[in-house]
Amino acid sequence: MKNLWPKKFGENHITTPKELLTTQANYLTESTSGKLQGVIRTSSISPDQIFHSLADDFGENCFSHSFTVNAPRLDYKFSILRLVHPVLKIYPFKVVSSLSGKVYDGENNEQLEAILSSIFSEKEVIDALDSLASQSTESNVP
Amino acid sequence: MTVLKTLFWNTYKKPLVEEVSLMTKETDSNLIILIENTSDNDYLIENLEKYTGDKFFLIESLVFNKAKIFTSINNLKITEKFGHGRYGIYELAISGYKNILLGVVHLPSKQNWGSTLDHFGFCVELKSDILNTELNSGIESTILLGDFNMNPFESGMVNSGALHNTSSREIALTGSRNYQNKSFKYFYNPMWNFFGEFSKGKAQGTHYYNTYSPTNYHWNLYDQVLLRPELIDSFDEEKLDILTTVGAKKLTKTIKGITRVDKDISDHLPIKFELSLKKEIKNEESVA
Repeated sequence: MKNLWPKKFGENHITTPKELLTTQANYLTESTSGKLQGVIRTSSISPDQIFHSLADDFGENCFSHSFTVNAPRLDYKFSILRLVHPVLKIYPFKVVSSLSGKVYDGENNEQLEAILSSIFSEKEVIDALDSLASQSTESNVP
Repeated sequence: MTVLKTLFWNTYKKPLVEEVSLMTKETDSNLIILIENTSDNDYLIENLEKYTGDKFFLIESLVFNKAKIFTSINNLKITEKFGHGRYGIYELAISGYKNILLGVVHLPSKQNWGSTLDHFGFCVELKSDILNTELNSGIESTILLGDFNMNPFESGMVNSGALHNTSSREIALTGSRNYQNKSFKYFYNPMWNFFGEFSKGKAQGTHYYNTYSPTNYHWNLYDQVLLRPELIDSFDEEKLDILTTVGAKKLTKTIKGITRVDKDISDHLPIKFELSLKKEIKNEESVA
């Protein structure tokens, strides 16, 4: 029997929001020599279990990617942002900044880059990262 | 025995230095957690000492800066373990006692977040971060305290995917509930006891809002303390209270026969409670 599938799937790889987040998380880890580590955690949000407000906007199962910064020498973590998009579609997505509480909508990677750039430049985020990086370099870290 | 005598108050963007200091003396509190407090920290510490004779110190925040935490227990180490714009999760440690986790929460008001789904979604995120902190620290004795801007019966507080609180000690002591092949840990919420005319305490809530809409609760229990089952036997139910006076001053007022929170002081009433820390039992090495 011949192959009835109309095309080979996955040949033209589209960069996913999670990959973009992971790239940025890795940049943070590298640029601080591991003093601060970007970590992406993913969970699925199913409407029968959780009526997450963001997922509810999409009305279907969603993936939620949480961007957390880990300061291993301080044994401390904090949340920078959360990105939610439907499981069956990469776009559109919503991003919530954990420190400022601002909610952003996006429909493509260019917009996601602009949103991430905006969140990473928030005063609260910069202050937190500066503070944690400095404390992680102190000689008397607990 | 070390007892955390805790006072929690949303001070409505006011300093309320005299009120907080006198209340601390009257309740003999040694752990004070303030939300929306605008006092000068040093001035408040000075006043706390003047009223109580005890030296209080401020816990430095890392990321979560919506709460001010003061304690007079000088060997109590409070370390922020997880930060978010709306909550912080702290580890409390005193040598010789079992460490506990303390989550302090300040959710936006319903006037700012119109949809209850927003509060729900937030609680899902909070629950996930509590679980991860419990897992990373190996501590399951967690106390969660704050201005949730939700009543104990709302979805974010009750739903298994969110904070999963129960009013029943018996049910909470079963530890967790299985639903669709997943286990969901409970929080015991003693604040349910304050609902209703003949309930516990002198007030039917911590917040009063008379809204011109079909659903109007009037009294809300937005300020709550929740406990993991592991801490239920350390929690003194008799000492939990909603405070309605400080000195001779009433924190409520009555207009046309209806009692409400006096917003001239704060739009929230304070709560107080006591929790005994459990002694750490170390395994002794057996001698051959």
